[in-house]
Amino acid sequence: MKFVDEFRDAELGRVVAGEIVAAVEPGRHYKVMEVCGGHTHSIYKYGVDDLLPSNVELVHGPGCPVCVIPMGRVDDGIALAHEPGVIFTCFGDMLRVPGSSQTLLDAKADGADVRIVYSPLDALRIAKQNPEREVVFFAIGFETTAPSTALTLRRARAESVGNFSVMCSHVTIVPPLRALLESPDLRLDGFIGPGHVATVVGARPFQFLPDQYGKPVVISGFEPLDILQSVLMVLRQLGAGRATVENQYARVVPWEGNLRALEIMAEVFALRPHFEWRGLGFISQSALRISDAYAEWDAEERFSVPGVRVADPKACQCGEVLKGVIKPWECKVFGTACTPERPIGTCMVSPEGACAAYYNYGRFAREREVA
Amino acid sequence: MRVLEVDAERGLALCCAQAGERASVEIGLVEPVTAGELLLVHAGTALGRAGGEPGP
Repeated sequence: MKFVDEFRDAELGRVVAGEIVAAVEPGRHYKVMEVCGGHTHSIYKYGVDDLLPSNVELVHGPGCPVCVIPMGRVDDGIALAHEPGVIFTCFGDMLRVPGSSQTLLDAKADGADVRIVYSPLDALRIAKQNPEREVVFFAIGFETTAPSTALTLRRARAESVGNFSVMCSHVTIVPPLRALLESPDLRLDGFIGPGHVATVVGARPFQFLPDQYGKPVVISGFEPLDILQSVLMVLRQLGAGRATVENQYARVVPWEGNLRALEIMAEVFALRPHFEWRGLGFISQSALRISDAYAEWDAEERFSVPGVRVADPKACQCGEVLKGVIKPWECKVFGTACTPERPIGTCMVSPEGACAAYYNYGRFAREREVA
Repeated sequence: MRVLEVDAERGLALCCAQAGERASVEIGLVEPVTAGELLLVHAGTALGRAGGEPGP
């Protein structure tokens, strides 16, 4: 398919890898964070990190939607799923995310009506098909997914679907990046910017990275050649002593983003004053709630939600993984007590989680390397 | 995903992914679209189209 096959060309990949080797200064260690979980997945799937010189380190960022949902929020969803008469809908990834005592999958086994949907519009369709039931959609994700929820709520209002509501846990990408840069734990040289989020918000919101922190950022596509080229572009900025926002993914990302999506998001959502992120704690203005104009479709207004803060399990180091402080295989329970089949932490659940991506694509190679 | 058919009245398009699977996609954020175009689709909603120009 056009725009896919040519970005998986192995020969070209080796050429770009050679240019990366030529661009690095010997003796200097480079830490480049890929913000988005989709990039993390591609890096391990295609072995992109195997093509990089040993002094170029890719650090996995907080951009996996499932991974950043705190345990208390999962418990809130499970409580709603157990409400009599409720059909609880969510993306498939959320089903196996551990809450404090069970997962949504366990709740389903206990008799709760939990259903996987591909899109919030599917949840709305279920509501229209079941007018005698209350249908709740567990909305998670960054600015990539929020427009879909917003469009669905607009349709729900236009079609007067009264038995549909949304438990909104959408988050935004800029505040956690600021939090990471303010953290003394991590020294980063540059960023691979989230291509799909940028399709919606544009490249401009990332301007604070060079302007305020002096860090280069390259908005990147998700194919292996995209990521390699973006790493090269970051390294070339560093080599030239420049820091700016560049758009490697220009075939999809307009500089200004999708203005129609931003407009509808502004209508349907409002910023929460603060929101808890797994591993990162509370971050100001980092998440979205349903706006007052759409409060009628806000599940947290319609139902009583426990809203209890729950600490992560002691053994789980998802927080450090999400901050890029440790690599997945450095977690005490990685691949032993915590596996994709029986995850303890969120990073092992979603395919975009660094631990799951590493476990599924790289674990055995790393074991060989260590041996 | 590639657009196969457009239902402008309902704001939907029948699209086909690389692996061949088909899905009905919300196109309200990228309209107007025409058959044959490539769309970036996330959670059943088209967010953009492929083939754009670089920014400044």
